Parts: sequence; structure tokens; C-alpha cells
Amino acid sequence: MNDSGIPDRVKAFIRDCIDSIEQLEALLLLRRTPRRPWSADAVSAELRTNADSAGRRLADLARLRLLDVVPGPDGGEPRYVYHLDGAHDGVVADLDRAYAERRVTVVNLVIGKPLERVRTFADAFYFRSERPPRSGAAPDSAWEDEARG
Amino acid sequence: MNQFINGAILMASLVAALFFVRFFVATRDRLFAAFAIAFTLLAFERVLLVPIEPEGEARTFVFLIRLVAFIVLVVAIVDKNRATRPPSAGRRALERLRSRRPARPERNTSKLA
Amino acid sequence: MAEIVYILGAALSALCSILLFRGYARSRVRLLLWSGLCFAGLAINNAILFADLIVVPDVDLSLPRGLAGLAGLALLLYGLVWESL
Repeated sequence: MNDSGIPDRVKAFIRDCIDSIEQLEALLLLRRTPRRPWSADAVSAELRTNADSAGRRLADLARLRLLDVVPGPDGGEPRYVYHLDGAHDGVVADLDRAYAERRVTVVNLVIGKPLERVRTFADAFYFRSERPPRSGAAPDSAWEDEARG
Repeated sequence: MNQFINGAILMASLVAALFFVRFFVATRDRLFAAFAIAFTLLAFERVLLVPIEPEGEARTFVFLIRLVAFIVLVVAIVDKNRATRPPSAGRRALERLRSRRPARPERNTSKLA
Repeated sequence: MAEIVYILGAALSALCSILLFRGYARSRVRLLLWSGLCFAGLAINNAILFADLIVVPDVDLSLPRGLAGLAGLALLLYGLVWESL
């Protein structure tokens, strides 16, 4: 079921594939220009980040087969283009929508991944199979849950 | 050689305990506090072994420290499994007060006054 | 009395190890794998300590038991360090 408005498959996609906001924005940027190949420099200029780091993010996305690598002009730097018709396209579309509508929640899902891994350690000591209630601070989504009643 | 290994275990246990303290601060999950305590006790046990022969380890009171560490872990695991209910009504009401949202009429918030 | 503590310790460490491996099987979070291996090492450490005390008291098993404990903790540290970021 939905929690804080983000579909479960988007959360799973973030958990499995998205490690940074820069990577997320690069993916969504390339998706919005589906047939245009981008170089790392062009992406870094658009996102206003460091070119090396943009290049690494693009390579990571290509390794996940979310982007295709095309050779650069005259054998220069490789360029990247969004992989169309892939199995992931629906999830990425949902992610795009979620990022537009609930930016802070999506950002928190990405930023919170290491802490989520740590929580999984504690969850392992819960004998029952289902996900245990969290001890400690309530997540922000609890407000929306309560507002919905 | 054994002292060398003991020293390494001591250091590793302390570092692990530090990580668990950090995890506790970040998540407020009591289990991590328990692990931090347990690993600190295991490190402390190594300190006490310094003046003691390795063959004597089993026959001294040092094992009591290990026992306390195990008890702490068992209590924490049992505690985690007993927390089967969602955040208590009292805490939810408290959070509602903090956000100044109206409390549900059927809940009793007077105990927090 | 010490023997009981070390058996309990081996059993508890083994339980933690099993719980962590089960968690790893469910979540694929590698921290749980390294932690599970750590507690397996600690279980072995306690088991060897018990063996050292009762089973073969004339044989000095301090080196293998120390190495088992150290190996487990080393794996835990590796997992903790890499999972922090």
C-alpha cells in the first residue's frame, strides 16, 4: 500500500538504483529528452554539478541499463541516452511524478538509505516475519497518515 | 601472540561499540544501545585479561563480564520483540500537541497536561 | 559456572548470527551478512573456549579461539565502515 503518497515500486526502485540526488536528476533529465544523447559535461552544466561526478553518475545509470552508452562524436567522450521501452520506464515515470509532487519525501528516501540499512540490522532481531513497528522518532509520513484519518 | 590478538579484539570491539552508539543516536532504537554496551563490555573483558594468563581466562571472574554482556543482549532482543504495538496512544497525543493539530476527541490527552 | 556462560554465549551468538542471516536473506542488506559472520565467529570463539576448558583442557586452544573472534570482529568492522555511506 502507499505510504506518504509514494508508490511501493518507486520506493523499491530508489532503494535498488538511486544513490544520490544528482543521479536521480540526471536520470530524470535524460528521460525528459528521450532521444538526445548527453555528454557528462552537458549534464554537469545543466545540473550545475561537477563534471567528473556527473560522469560517474551517468556511468552508474548505464551499468543499471537505465541509460544506453553511445560513442561520442569523433571518438571522443561517450555520451548517454535514456533507454527507451525498457521495463523500468513505468517506474521512472512514477518517480518523475513523485519527485515533482513530493520532492522532500523523495529526497528523504534517497538520503536516508544508509540509515535505512542500519534499521534493517535492528529489524533482523524481530522474530516475526512482518516489518516491525519502528521504535524512536516517528517518520514524517505519520502526519499525512493522521491527516487522512 | 595472544596478547596481540587480545589487543586487536579490544580495539575492534571498541570501534564496533562506537558505531552502535552512533546508530543509536541516529535511530533511537534501544537495541543499538544494548549492542554498544555489550561490545564495550567485551572490550573491557579483554582489558582485564592483560595481567591474566590465557589458560587462566576460563577460571577467573572475567567470565562474569561476558555474562553481563550476554544478558544485556538477551534483554534487548526480548524487549524488541515485545514492542509489538504501534507507537503508544500517549506518544501520538504528545506529537499531536507538538504540532498543534486538534486531538481526536475519543483520545484522552489530559494525562499530558 | 564459567562453562555455562560460554555455552550460553555460543548459543546466543549463534542465535544472533542466524537472525542476521535470515534478515540478509530477506533484505539483501550486506551489513547483515557481515554482522552475521561476526556473530558466527563469536559463537565459534565461545565454543572453542568451552572446548578448551572441558573437552581438551590439556591442549591450549587460545590461538584458534582468538583468531575466530578477531576474524568475526574484523568482518563486522568492514561491514560497519562500508555501510556508513
